[in-house]
Amino acid sequence: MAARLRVAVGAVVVAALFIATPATAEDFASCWVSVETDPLLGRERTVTRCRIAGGDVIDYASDHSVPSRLYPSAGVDLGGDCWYLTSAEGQWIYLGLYVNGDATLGWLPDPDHPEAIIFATGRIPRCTSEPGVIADPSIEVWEYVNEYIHPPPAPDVNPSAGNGVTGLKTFVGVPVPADHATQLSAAGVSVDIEIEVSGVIVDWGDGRTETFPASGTAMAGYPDGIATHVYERKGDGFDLAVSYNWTARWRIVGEPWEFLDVPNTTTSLAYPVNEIVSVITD
Amino acid sequence: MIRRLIAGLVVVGLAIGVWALWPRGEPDPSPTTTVNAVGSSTTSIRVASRTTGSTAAQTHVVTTVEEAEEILRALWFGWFEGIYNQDEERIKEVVGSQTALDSAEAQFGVMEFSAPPTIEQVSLSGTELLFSNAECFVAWATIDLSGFREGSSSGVHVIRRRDYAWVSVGLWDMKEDLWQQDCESQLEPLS
Repeated sequence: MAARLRVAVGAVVVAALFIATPATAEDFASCWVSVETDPLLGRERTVTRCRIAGGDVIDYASDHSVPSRLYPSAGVDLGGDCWYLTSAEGQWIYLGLYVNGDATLGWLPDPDHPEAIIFATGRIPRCTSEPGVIADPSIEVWEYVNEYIHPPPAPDVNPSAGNGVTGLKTFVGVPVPADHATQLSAAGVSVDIEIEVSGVIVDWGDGRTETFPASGTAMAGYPDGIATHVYERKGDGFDLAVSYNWTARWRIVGEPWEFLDVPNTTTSLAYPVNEIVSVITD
Repeated sequence: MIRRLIAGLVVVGLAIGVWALWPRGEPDPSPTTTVNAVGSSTTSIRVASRTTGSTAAQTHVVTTVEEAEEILRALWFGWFEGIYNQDEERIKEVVGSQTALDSAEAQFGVMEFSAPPTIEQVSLSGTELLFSNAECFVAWATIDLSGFREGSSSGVHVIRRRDYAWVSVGLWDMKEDLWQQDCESQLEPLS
């Protein structure tokens, strides 16, 4: 019995040794094409090169197991916007594929709703050098907008801080940035961006907050501006805050606008308010 | 009783006869839909506008190595002939992409020939048919040139059908390379 058991166990071990483990394909971070001229034929010959995830650059299908499926993605190589293939499933899909290797890709945020393609790249070439990844054009848009709106307001308060008095108007003036519109290329698509200050919010620090029109006239400060406030009680330092209320929107050229939830930029200052009390003396 | 039995048999016989002769709705075999082997007198593989076409060629699927080699030989001869004569129209007959046309034009006056090319000097070997349908076929092949240029070159040739003729659209390095998309892509007019 024991001998039979040993034989059986041995057979299982031997079988396990000989059962081939399924080959696991490498993860290809990106595959692009290298175009070389065949010296005999004088014709362009396409070689696919791939960066193995976390590893070397190899020739596709040279002596490596290849992924069962590759997905398109948009990126940027030395020549500019381009498309490449990767084994990581993303949100780009083919909208058009041309015989010279160009493609048009669409951005599909929700695979369950293939009709909801947010935008399409223009016709872009296949990457011919290792691409940099741009997963989402809105990232570039977001970076651009945040860089633009970074400077906070620089308010001019009259009377100046330390000279505020109850019962007298305090004026706040602040320069209002002009409306800004631009077009840039992000991840292979041309996008329109519009940025504007849609209002100036003044928190007077005593419990009252007002929003004023974002115009140079309204925010001209003393004496013609309309951003004024009368403090009714004194305080050692009201937290007076002036904010630009930004509105930023972007779109793929020809597509509907999308708004970005941009935070206000704010400048705060301590604003003491004194009280002048009349005293009748003899 | 016997009469009824005979009458019944006659009815059954008639029914069987009608069933046997009734058309089945299968397509009528027509000479234009017959796919013939290479070498058959009715097969027409239209390449480079130098051979005549037929309805059969429009739906013909390349299935044999010999057939693929015949097409490849004609295409590559057209390629070299066009370059030798610096004939853009000849190149347009054999290529299906602007990239290939530009490559050929870049070779005008540059590629060296020891003699005018002839189709007999273009030979193929080691050919494997990797993919084939009515609109596209892909073959691994080694092209050997002699007489006008000397040497050999192996690669994956992607051939598409355009206007009922075969044209070359891609040349890839390896059999397992990403040539599949060349068969699915959109052909465009050459300028």
